[in-house]
Amino acid sequence: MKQNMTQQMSKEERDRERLANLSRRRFLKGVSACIALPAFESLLKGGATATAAQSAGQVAVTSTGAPLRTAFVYFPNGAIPANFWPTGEGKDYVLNKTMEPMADLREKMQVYGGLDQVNATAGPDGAGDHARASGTFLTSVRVKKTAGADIHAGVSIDQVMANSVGHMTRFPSLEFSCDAVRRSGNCDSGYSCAYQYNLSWQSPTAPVPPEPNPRFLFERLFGTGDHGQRQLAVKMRQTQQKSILDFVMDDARSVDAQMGSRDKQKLDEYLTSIREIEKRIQDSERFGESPDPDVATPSGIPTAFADYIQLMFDMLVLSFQTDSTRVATFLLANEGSNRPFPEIGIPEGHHDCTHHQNNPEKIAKVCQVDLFYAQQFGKFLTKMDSIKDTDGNSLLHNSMIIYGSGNSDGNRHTHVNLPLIMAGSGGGALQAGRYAKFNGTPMANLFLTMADRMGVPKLERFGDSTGRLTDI
Amino acid sequence: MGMVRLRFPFSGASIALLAIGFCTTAASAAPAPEPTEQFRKQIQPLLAKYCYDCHGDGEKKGGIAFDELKTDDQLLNNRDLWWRVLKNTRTGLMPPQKKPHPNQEQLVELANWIKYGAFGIDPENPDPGRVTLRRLNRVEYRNTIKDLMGVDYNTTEEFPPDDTGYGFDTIGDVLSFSPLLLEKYMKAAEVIVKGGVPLVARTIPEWNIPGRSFKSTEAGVSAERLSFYKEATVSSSYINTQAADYILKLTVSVRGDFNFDPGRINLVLKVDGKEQWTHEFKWDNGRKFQFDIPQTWDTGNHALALEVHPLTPPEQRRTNIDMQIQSLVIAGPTDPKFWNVSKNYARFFPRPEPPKDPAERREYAREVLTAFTKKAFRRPTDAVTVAKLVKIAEAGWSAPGKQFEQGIGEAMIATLSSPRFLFRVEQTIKSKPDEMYSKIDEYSLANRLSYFLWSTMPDDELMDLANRGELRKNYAAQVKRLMSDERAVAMVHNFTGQWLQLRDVDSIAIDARVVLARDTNTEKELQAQLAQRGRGFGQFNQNQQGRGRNGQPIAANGAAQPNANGANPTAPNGANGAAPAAATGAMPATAGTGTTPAPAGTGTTPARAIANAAPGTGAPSTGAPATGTPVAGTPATATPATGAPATGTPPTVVANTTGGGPEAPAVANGAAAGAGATPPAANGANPAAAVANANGQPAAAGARGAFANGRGQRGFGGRGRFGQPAVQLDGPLRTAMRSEPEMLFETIVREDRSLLELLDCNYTFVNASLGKLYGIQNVVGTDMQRVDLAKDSPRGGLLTMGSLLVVTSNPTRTSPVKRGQFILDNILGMPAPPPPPDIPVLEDAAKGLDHDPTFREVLELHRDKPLCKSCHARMDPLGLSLENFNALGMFRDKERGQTIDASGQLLTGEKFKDVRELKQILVTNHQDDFYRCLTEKMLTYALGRGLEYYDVETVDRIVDRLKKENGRYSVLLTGIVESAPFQEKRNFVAPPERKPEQRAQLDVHP
Repeated sequence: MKQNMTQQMSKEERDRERLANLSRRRFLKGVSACIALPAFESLLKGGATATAAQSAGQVAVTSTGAPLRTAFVYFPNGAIPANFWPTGEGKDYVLNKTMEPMADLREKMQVYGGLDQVNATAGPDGAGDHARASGTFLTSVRVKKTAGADIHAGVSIDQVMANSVGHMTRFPSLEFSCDAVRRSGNCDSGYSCAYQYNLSWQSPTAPVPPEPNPRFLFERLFGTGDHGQRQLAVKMRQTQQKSILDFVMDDARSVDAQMGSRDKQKLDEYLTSIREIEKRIQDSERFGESPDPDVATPSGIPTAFADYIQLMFDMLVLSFQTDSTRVATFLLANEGSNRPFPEIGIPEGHHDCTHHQNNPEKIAKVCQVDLFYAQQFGKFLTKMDSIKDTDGNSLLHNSMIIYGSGNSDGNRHTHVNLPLIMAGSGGGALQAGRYAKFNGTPMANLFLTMADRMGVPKLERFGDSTGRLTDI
Repeated sequence: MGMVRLRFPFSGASIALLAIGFCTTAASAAPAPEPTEQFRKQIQPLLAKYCYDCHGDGEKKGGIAFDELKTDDQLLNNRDLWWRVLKNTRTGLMPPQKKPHPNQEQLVELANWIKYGAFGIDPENPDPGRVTLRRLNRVEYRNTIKDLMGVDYNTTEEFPPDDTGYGFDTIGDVLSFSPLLLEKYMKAAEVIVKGGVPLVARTIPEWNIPGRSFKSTEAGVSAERLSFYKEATVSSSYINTQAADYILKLTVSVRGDFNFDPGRINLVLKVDGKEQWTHEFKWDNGRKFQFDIPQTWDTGNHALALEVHPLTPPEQRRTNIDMQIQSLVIAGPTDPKFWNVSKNYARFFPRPEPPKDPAERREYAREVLTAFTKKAFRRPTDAVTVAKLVKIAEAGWSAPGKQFEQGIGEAMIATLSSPRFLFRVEQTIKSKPDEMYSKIDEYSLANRLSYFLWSTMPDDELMDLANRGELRKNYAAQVKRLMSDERAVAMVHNFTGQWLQLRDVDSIAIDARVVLARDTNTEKELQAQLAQRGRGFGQFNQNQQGRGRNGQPIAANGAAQPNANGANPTAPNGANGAAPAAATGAMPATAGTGTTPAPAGTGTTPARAIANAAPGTGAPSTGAPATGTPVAGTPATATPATGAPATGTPPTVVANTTGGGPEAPAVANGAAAGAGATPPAANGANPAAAVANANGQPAAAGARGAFANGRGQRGFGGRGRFGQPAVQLDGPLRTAMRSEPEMLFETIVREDRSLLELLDCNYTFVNASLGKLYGIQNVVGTDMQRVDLAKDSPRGGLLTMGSLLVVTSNPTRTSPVKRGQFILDNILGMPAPPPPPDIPVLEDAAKGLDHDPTFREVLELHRDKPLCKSCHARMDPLGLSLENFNALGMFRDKERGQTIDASGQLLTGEKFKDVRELKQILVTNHQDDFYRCLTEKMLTYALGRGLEYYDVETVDRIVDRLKKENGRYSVLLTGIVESAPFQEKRNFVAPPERKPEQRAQLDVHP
């Protein structure tokens, strides 16, 4: 009897396990297998999106008409240069130790050397390199040194792109973070914490807070409930939102009338939010049924950091794959993060180690952390590479994904020659498979070119840009 | 005077001048002569005498030369400079200690000129400052919803963290808004209204039987964790009083490991022995299930049983799955005539049921929503808004299948998404049409008060008073009422949680093993052990389950056998301290048996002996004062320690003692036994036990033993597996650490005691596990309780609390720099400027030393560099004074084998030999600094903005009163709530106060 049961189970078990692994292991085994891709393809080809894309003019599309995506993935505290930078140059480059996890993807990415964010340097502002590194990373401006009263950065490049291409997708942009817990007290040397925990800025005074919870991200993208119920849930939510929005818009206007300018500015953030959600609801009709991937909703934040990062990357893959957005930012950890990495034998804090005073043990530890982050990114790229896009190319091929940090050498807090990887071929428009040296060029020049590729019209200057980076 | 007042608040930048033409013309064309004249007559000579050595006559230290301020404009439009002068002269940082100092009178003269001359503050009518429209932060939203709706919505989980400014999350300028947030607010509103607003007047009665009430006859079987691989039955019962139809609502969850497991079970529900329901479950990772099971029941007792029947043979098991019975709710009788009036119904609906007539319905809806919005918006709502909401409600209830209450619910969702709910909209009452600052109206004041003290909306009493316009009339009484109300604890939590960074205690990562190994000087061995295993530290910490049950002894140095044998856990229970377990090494202590009390004499041997071989130098040899309340260090037996001097410890037992023979001092208090392994964990394998209670702990004898035995005890998680340190910064301990300062602060609030007790006092709050960490014995249980401290205890006051010591540490070690900085920032209010950019790389300090450098040595090297000196001379002595406390907050007197020197000298000249003396110095010589610092912090928290130069007067007044009234808390509180910035608001839009360049200079390294 028992024997029988065991045998009978085992086949059933195998099937069940496979399914469970696919659908339940929170996508960790690979998103590609678990999404009902055909549905998505048909949606794209025959559905509203393609029409929308045509009618709206070709923005954020590749030469084959597939969606073109941009993402910025940020890792904290720079990277030990000796292990980061490849040897050789151009096509004949050899990846260094930190980039070993990406060895298989060598032909699908580029290493960019010599790009700078000079506005992150101290200048007249003194200490606070971490706050500046992240505050400047996507804005290319000198952020205002203030502990709170009048935070001021610039509109970040991802938001510039979102403003131009956001109408193509359900979400103009998405912001991710794996740093859900804030330290209390003051942040870096007199800078508000806003600079360290936000990469994206919708206006110079209003950061776009990232979502750290994978469950909420998923529900925001695809609706609540189990697979099969989500589309209805999305519709119900939108109906609900519509009725609220009309009321609160009026309400906000009536409050607005009684206010001073700084208050108005706050309220303006509120009004902008209303408008954006309204627009999204209107757009959703254009997009038709919302996607509903056949995977379980993630239950929350995994305990292990690597699992957490992978789950968030899976959300990013999903949002690209379902064409929910074409622009995303992802803060792996806040700049200056002092997270310890006991899971790889480093009980000391990351930031602490980066000030290594040339102690080889500490340097070795930082290298391990650098490698850890690179591994996470490598896994994400592998997933992106394994998923076919609508044009038959891989998702990775049709993307421009920057992986980098606003600090180059964490020990000395430098902001030139930033450690940067550009993964993906931008649909074939990028010269993947090389190490390009730009020798002291503003990173903003790269942003201008990326914005061009995304279809942002006539962006003449950005931050401290001096021109376009033609050779990418 | 009026002119002076007008001029200064706005004249900082030329932009400002453009903006307010009418007053600036007057101001810039004819600057009031007094301040500049006064400067030249009185102030300049002072500066020349005391400051020009470095800041004049060609000297320009820190970029400052006072004699370069020549024009009136340079003199008066240099507020940042004068603000720094004021701060530095008041805190005694300037002039430097070695130089001649101005006398008190001269200092006051200077301060007054800065305040009234350079800043142009009008003490009669100070500028209340600019407060930006404030969004409710996560805490305030949660509390407000709780009070308004009776629903606890977990905002910590649901909302993204709020940005902070000036160290607090109440700062309007950084509480930003985004589409994501609005989506979240709308979703929250929906969830809250669904959960809080009863949709019907009457509801079915429910009786909840929590999962844990289901018991098994078998030991160790818990309904909250039923394995998928074990037959089990758990049961409960219910006495039914009404024969009728019922619905049983069963909630269970499947808690599988992160990784798949093939296990399956049938879960069966039996009532009175008969199967009523069954369901098959399989692996899931924390998924919840709910089932409705109809029943027809007679009166009388019903036996309820839940049975787990595994369907998968145990050999297929891969990871773990458990079934958790969460609850069984008996709902019924299902016949509505037995139903109860819905909970919360009367909160929103005054009538038992809504009228039927449509017009009456609308009228009733208007009534309901007028009351609701007044509460939600914290001020009366205009009729137009209410009418719009009534429309929404009507559309709601008119939809097919919907009821009146559901319609109202729709309107409430809109209300909770409105800016008037989400933001704190304030209004002023102008007494003259053109006045610059006006009092805020009473609703605004009620809001400011209740959000400051309760972190929630005003209650009915405050609203009633505001309604009648009598809040200001009854202000003092109301402040007192609010302060003594239970809700005032919110201020304690939220203010101290941020001021003292207590919120970080929950999440900060400290690796106890490395910390303890540093103290026992076995860090290298620990690293080696782990390297040998090829595993990282944390994996051991993380995978406590299933690891090391029979852990192999790890050879380190060939000698120490770490406490590998988890199954053989602990030293004799040390709950009462001095349990000794002779550490013969040959005798693993058996759990639960080793209760033999130690002879008093042996108990005095410092546990540390094992590890450090240190004589108990610092240990006071006196016995514990045998006072009534539990006293730190009272020996377990409560026998006053016989005063066996700690120094009697045989000095030389070192780490590698393998056998731990009977003569080894390890015997002393069972420390070695704590390792529970053979041979005793001599080599840091069980470092904690060893470190335990270093000396210097005032605690008498027994206290040490207590800690040494801490190892197998609850709270320290010392299961005795490999690598498990005896002290774990686990959840309960973190909670206790966080509570300690909160309770001290709350005591001061409730009893209106002196704020100086925050710096030094002879009592504190601990529970058993925190007590053990401190070496305070005789504290039993998990509840925090007040204990009196021995006279020479290093504890008492914030500085030596575990929480502060932990949040200022790095994951594996202390950070004297962070600690020093913390004290400067948060206690003394004289923050050292941030480090300069482009710091030259500090070469590894170890080079050229024959040993691992102590922090003192590293920092001394550091201070040799002129670039670093000025600030580190300020920070380091403070931080180093706390070196006797490791990164877990435990007392120690050695680190890495070297005796800790905690003595030092403040930049203001005072010398101290340890932290106890330092505390005394702070209380006597620096109380003004502390009062000022705390006042500034609390004012920032209360106002929701950073302080500006014009706030100096407000702060000064409060500090003066605190000095006169011995620092009583109520003085601080009333000072804040009665101050102009709390009571008033600017009436117009002030132009930008500073150009960015100017602000940037504020923080430039001197």
